[in-house]
Amino acid sequence: MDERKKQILFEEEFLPYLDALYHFALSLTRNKHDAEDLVQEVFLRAYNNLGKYKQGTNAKAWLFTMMRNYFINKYKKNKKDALSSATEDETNVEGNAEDVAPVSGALSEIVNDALMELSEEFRTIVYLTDIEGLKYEEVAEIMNVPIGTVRSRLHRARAKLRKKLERYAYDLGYITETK
Amino acid sequence: MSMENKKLKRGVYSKNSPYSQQECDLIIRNIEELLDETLSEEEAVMMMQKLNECAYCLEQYQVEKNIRKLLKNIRSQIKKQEMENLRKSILNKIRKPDDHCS
Repeated sequence: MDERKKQILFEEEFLPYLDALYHFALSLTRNKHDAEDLVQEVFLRAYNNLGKYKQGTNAKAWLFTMMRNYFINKYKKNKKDALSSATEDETNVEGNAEDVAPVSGALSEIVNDALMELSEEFRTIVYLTDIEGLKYEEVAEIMNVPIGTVRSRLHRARAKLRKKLERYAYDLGYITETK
Repeated sequence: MSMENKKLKRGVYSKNSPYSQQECDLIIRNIEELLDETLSEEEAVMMMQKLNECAYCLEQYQVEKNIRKLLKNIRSQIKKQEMENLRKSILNKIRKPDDHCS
């Protein structure tokens, strides 16, 4: 594939997911600067590996998988930042309150903080399903675990979030959207 | 789009509920699946019926739903300018791959 065709394919099929990828990067790194680096790295890797991508397949899942794998294998090692193991215990990985992703609005900050306090696995699973709206099957593929594991981890992650956010959720009351 | 907002009281199981506490617990356990849209249409209709009959269960449903809304909201907090800068930076690197490799 010549350079021009590669660029067109890249801009048409991958670049539309920049927004989603940046949010996922924020969720993984919990830090704006690292998130920007991670996104740029992953997009460059995607561009350089365009030959491995089957056109018309799920580009978003492909990019998300690449991002998470890259983050786990290289990025985290570089940062010497301990990654939670499959124990799924959030107590071993806690967010650095000063370093969390920037958001505006007090409530958004509270919600963001609650999410960032979860372990990487819980955070990722909540991010991919409840924020990004991916299907269980896609999440299972990205995280390389069976669907049953996605379900059970998601259930536990949501329970943790619920504990943290319940009182704000009560304050919101019944919301009915009207035009 | 405007939001009409009626505050909830903290949920406590009420004896006025047509369901026993165990039944309510079972209904509440299925709220996640209802919101995930993984129940069959028939199951979902039955769930909504039960929720509408029991104020306690309905409240739990609303809390769960609100948490999902709160989560969705954090997605829209990133400034457009930041995204635009990032986009330009990536495109620059793609269009000048030699610069990146050197």
